[in-house]
Amino acid sequence: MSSSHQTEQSHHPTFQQYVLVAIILFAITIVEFFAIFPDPNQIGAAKLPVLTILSAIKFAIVIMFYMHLKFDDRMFTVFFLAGLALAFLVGIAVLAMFTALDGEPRAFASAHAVPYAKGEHGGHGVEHIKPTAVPIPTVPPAVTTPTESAAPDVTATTAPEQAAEPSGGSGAGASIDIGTDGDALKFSTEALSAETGSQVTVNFNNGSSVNQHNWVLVQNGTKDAVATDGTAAGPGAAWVKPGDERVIVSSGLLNPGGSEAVTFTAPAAGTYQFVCTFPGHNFTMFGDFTVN
Amino acid sequence: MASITGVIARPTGYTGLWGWITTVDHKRIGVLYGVTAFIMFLIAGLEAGAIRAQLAQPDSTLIGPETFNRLFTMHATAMVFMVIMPLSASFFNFVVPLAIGARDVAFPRLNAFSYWVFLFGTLLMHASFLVGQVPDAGWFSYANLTSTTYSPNDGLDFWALGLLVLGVSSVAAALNFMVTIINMRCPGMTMMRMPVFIWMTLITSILLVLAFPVITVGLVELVLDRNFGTHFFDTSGGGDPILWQHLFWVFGHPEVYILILPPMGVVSEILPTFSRKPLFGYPVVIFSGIVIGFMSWAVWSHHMFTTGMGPTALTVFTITTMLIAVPTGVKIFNWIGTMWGGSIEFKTPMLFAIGFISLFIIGGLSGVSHAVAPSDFQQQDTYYIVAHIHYVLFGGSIFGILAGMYYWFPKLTGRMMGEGLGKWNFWLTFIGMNLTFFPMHFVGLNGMPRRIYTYGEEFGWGLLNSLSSLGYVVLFIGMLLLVINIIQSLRNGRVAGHDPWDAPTLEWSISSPPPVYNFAEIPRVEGRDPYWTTKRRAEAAGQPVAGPEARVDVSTIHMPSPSYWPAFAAVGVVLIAAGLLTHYSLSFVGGVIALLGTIGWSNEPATAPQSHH
Amino acid sequence: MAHAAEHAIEETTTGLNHRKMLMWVFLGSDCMFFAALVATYMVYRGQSLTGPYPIDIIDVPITTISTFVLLCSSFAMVQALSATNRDDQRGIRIWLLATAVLGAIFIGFQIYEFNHFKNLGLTLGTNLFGATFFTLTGFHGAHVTVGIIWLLGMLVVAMKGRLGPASSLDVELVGLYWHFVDIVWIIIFTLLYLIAGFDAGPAALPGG
Repeated sequence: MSSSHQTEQSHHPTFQQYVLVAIILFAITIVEFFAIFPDPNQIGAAKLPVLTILSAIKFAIVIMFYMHLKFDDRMFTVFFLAGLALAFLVGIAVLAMFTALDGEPRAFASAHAVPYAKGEHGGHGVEHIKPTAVPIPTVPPAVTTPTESAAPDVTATTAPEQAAEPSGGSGAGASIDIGTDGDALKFSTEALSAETGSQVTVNFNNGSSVNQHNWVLVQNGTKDAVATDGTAAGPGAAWVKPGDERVIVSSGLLNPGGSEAVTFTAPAAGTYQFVCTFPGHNFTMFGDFTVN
Repeated sequence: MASITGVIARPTGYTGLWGWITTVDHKRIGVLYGVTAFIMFLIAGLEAGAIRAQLAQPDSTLIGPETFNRLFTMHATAMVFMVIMPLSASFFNFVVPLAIGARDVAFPRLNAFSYWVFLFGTLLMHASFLVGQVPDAGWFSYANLTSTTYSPNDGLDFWALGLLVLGVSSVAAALNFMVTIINMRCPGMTMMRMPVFIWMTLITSILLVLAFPVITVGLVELVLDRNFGTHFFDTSGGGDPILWQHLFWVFGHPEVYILILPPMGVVSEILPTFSRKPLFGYPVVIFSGIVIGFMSWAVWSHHMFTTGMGPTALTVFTITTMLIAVPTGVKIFNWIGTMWGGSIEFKTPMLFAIGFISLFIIGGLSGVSHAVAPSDFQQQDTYYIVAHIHYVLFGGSIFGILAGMYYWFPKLTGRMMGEGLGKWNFWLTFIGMNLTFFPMHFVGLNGMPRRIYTYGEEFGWGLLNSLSSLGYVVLFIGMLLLVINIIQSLRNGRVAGHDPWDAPTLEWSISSPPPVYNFAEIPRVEGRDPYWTTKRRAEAAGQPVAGPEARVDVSTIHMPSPSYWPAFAAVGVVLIAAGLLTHYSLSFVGGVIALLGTIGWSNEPATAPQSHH
Repeated sequence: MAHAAEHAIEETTTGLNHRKMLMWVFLGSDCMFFAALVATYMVYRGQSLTGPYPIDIIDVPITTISTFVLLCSSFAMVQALSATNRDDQRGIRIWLLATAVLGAIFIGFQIYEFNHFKNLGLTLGTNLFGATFFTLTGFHGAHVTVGIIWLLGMLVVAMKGRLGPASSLDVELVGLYWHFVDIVWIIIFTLLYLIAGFDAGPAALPGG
């Protein structure tokens, strides 16, 4: 049954009233403009409350008069105000959680911000500035980086693709092939060996179809620590901390399907590990490298 | 204005495939939603089967990690957005106009548009399988796993764009049902006389229109981060991955109430019918639903307890989350009160409804344990949470939906579903569900994390996981019986008549299936449970209940004519999204189609020429 | 959106028109959309790791002018509705056209502004200011553009003489949408320009 709501649009503002609303809107905007221009601080701490209240007035008179909400059924007011109130409350809550309640993300941003030489007021006459933040590589590059290590005679070279066949090696000029276990976060073998002092070439093939990997030879028991530091070093360093003394040799960061030959002299006899230091892979993608 | 409606005139008939494509009849649209969603239920259920097969034993190599990630992502995303929500939508479509005494919804073409956009969005997201780039970052896709560094293929773009399209469908439908429920109730049906299911539909629709815009913004920002070089969620650019979590869960928590309130409404219809007494405490049940709706906005960060929000936020959200359990508990007491002292008939809909109550209580109890932040620190990201989710969404939402399916099947088809098969379906599902998910509480508290593709033997989780996988087999058989039951019932189920359950609400007063115009004469109601009132009065007076068809010349009833513009415009919408995945020119074409669709829709004559309606 | 004459006033439960109710609920929903975008801007205010910062880019005088343009367009919209109710056919066309043109001028200002910012080194991907600014104002501009297309569609109908008091609801609906887009701009202008428009970068070079 139809409730007896007032008939729609029984009251229409007149042309003069609409003009009046328009004039008030313009006037408020002019006041707002001069409150902050040319000097944004010229009304000091009153700026925020003044601008907020003035804008709220503009907001309200457009809604009430131009959108006719003042004269229409109250239900429309309920619908709109419900959405507006919820939007306001949830927005404030989220903002509070970022600003008032937990400062960490802000601290990081502030600590790493790059200051910028200001131009003239209003942005005129400012030189063209290039962004300087580290961009996220959209196509991760395969980076070949020379790495320092504790052992002498270390070079990393790029070689043509080779089949991934695990094989042990001994003596001078040993060649070891190692790949990945398909798309799993594992190498194709978990045990390699070499003779101390021999020239070893590890041919690493990344057989994964989706993951990037590297092959890093590290001191015994340090694989996770090296990986942690590598994560902090970032993709630009191929996920290995530059100058990390625990790293004997490492390959670059290989894209899916890529290969690299890493040649080095096998260090002193003992147990070492090889690991992939792409963030998170070190937990399962490692093996033992025994030097006899 | 025939020129703008194009070469093809507005359809006038209801036959064949074209009849389905152009339908604006809420009953048919309900069928479309239901069939599509049910097929998605079976597909997502098979994905679950693969998951359970892989996890049945430790160190299993049946399914690799990459595939496993895709499976659980698509299983969950499909179940939430392409199964439970559209199944609820199917009930909204079929039941709401009937239960409020209306002939259709407020915007029949918008209703059809919602369905087609849903279908195309589902297809878009599953097109990812065709190109082998399937979403694999979990159903809530946390940043920065979703950045192109860690998710380089297009899977997450399929996910984000697919969800954006599905969001259009949901919001359009929710707007439609809000206006329908507020503005198309029959004379005498005040808000406090509406069936509980209608109230729950209204609250759900309000939550939908207010929540989806928030995830829309999150998804847009994700797409921008992945494709346009922004750093919304990327710390190296000053962004914060936690912002994604906030945007997602501000939507996500109201979303879980969107998932559970309609099934609660269904259960609130079924319990009185099969207890043969009115719902206990109707105003309290309604009020609890409203309170749940309000409070659902105040609890979202309980999904983020382990992100280091600080003690103030932890405390506030612990308190609000514990408080929101209260109105749910109130509803449960009212349901029990409804059954108390009633003359209970244990037909299949009632079995599923009672199953709902017991399983939802268990899910609610584990939920309350998560509410306490310190205990959540142990539970978060373990199988304990998986147990909770499935008790409330399977034991809750799905059981409620299955109850509704058995309840309203006779009204939709004119035939009863088999009771014998129904009971087997129920018991196997009930037992299977508990066998699958109850062990997960233990294995979760013993430390088994979520989203791992295998686990070592040494953890000792193998036995309980095997039980869960065995439970899946039982569930599978149960669902198989459901499918058989549906097929058999459609073919030669017992003829239902208009009121097989002696039910209280208006939809049972018309024939099964209902005529296209629903009510020959718009009913006038005087209280709740109007059809019980009508029947009891007639009995008391010793007269049969008169059929209104006798009094009204139904050929004078004017129904909206079918239209192809909703489907046409929906094609435009999905092409806009698909173009962002392939070539921008496709998006442009989609935009043009959507614009033409809107123009055609607006200019279509209200009645097709030479229509009989 | 001209249908055959509407049914007699509102045989709906509340007496209110379906489409008007739909529009108001939709606007309530759109509040949440813009709130999430504004919240993102406010969360990231002052967090950009690199310049350019607002103070180098934001041009308050120019944008104040474009704000005036948009306010004028709301006035024109209100006149269009008024003309429709009076069955002033010439007035309907003039004011609908004026609203659309003023909206287009506003978009022109936006395009000029975006392009100018790009030349000054601010793009979507430059920093958080760029990302949040362009996303928020970009979506607002998209809403305005949709409104302009809608208005032009109404203008076509008006040119055929088919807009009048019987179809005033159609004009009212586009008006509600248009004014909403205007009040969203009021919020954006106040926050992004008047208040945050003078935000500068960090004062001192940190150790890192």
